[in-house]
Amino acid sequence: MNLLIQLGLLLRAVTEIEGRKKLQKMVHILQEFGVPFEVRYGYHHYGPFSEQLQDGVQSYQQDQLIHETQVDGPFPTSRFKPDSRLLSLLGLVSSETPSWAPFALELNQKSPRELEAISTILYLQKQPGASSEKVEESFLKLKPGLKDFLPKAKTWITDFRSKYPTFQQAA
Amino acid sequence: MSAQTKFSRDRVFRDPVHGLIPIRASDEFLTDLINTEEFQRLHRVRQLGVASLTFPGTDHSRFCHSLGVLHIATRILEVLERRYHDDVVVSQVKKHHQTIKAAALLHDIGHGPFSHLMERAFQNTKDHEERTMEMITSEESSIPDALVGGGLKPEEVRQVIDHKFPVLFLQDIVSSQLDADRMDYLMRDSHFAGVNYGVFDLEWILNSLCVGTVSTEQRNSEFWRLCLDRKRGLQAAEQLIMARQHMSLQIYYHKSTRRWEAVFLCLIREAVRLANLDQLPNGTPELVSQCLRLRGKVSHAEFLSLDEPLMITAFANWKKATSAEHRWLSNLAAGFLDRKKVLVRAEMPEDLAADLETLVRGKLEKEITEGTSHWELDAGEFTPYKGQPPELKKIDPEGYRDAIQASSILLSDGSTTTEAQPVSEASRLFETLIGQRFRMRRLFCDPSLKSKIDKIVQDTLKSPELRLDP
Repeated sequence: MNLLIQLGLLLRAVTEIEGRKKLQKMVHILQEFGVPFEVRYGYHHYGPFSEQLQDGVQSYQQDQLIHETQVDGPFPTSRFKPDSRLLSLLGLVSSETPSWAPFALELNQKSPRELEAISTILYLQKQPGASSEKVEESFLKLKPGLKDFLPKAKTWITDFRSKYPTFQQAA
Repeated sequence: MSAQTKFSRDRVFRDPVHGLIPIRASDEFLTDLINTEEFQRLHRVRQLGVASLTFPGTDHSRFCHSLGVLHIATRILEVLERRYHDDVVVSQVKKHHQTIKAAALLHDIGHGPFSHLMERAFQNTKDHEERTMEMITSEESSIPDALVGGGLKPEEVRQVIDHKFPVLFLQDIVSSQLDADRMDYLMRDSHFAGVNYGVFDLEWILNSLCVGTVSTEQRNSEFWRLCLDRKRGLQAAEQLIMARQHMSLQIYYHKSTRRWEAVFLCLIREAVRLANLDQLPNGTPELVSQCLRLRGKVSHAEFLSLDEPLMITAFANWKKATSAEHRWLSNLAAGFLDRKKVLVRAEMPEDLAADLETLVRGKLEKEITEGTSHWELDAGEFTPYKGQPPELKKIDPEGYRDAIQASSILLSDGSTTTEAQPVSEASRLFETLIGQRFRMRRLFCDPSLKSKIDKIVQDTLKSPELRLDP
């Protein structure tokens, strides 16, 4: 399934996503749970980041299929929403809500920093020779500012794994 | 001295692009890697797939490109070593230099025949990077032994290819906006194509490379990146990015080359269809049939034999097939081998938006009952520079920072404590390139279906469901 459709399904499921960081981390976490977003992630300053996803979103913004608007406040950010053209395309392609929609909604309720912690742990867990101790050690070295989120993020991942087993079959 | 004793000595390859490519005796493991079956196979995989049907000189192989990437990567390491010889941390990471050289040499060993075309033909199969990573660590491959023999850890070489190596500024040498891969392919491809578009000042770029940090809060080398020295490298960076744009528009996305690629893709799809029905012409090499049935998911041993000569042998066999069920396969094979026009362009705007492209594709899949081997919708799109608009810095500072780090050329003053800056903040040319995209959507089809396909496209573009603009 192409990236436009997958992103459309995500935005339709959650209505809107606040900030690029949140979008990046949500797609990464969903991908780690088997949702077929075919984009490659690398590690960057705020954790896993996909250049391909960034590029795809920018291309769809130019087509005015996805809108990014400014959100003012003490911590300014942006907001992503699907255009009605994208929603109508989805209607033609698939009217069904994907099985992973409740998971996406739950993720969207988390803060960008919480998602950053979850996404970083999932990323570190996939590194060669990763053990629980090694993941924790790398996390604290890379993310000293997210130290307080570590125990919660680990619990969330365990909960997600039992609540939302892999979506590969449902894709 | 026993007959088994190995003599370590410097070796040299002659190369039309770089002159001499030396392999030092101290890097004997590189010779061992070059001598593996996996690496030698690259002699039989061309760098630019079918581009030689348009640019006859471009028959150069992934083998010579890989040596070129090793050469440039080695030179970058030497530049950094010279510049930072008195820096304790940079000296500490010197232990990784051989890992980087190995990754540079091996970065393309997972390419299938006709390079990127096989990935487009079998989209759900491992891409060349995944196959490369597997070949670096798999027990079936002879690469891990050669690496371990040289005192290297295959897992670390794999991490570089996987963009997960902990020392980013070293990983950048193999994969980034300033990587050795890009510098070699631009120079090599333009040399063999007989054009001057890919020319840039390699010597000055190498001379301008330095290290900068992307995190002034965390002062560890994991946040250092490969940068260009702000005072020296700006114009060279502009030249490099323009070289890539010109090569992409004139060579890589050339309309004739893309047509031959479409013929290749239709040929493979038709062969897959027949393979699934067990109706491939007699005499098709068994490995080719197997590869088609499994949609490219072949074993390591099979992959080693899967090269362009084998595929061409199959095409030559298909061209001679005479039975009715093989007519289209034979037409496509003859078209490909004899450079005969077997597909024509259907009417479709080249700048088609992504939603319309998805819709057109969906309609064609549904309505062209002859099958997907009779048309190819090439969704070509090229971005010259993936920079970010400076206003994003205020709107979404974190999003800006990650995007800049992932896809910008970075400038620094050479100090590992000063924050690196994206080149678009210092160059008017780069600033104007932000957000630029070249769309090259092209629809190729079986001439007998052109009028039908033209009508499908026309009707789809007029589709009322898509006229819901706010």
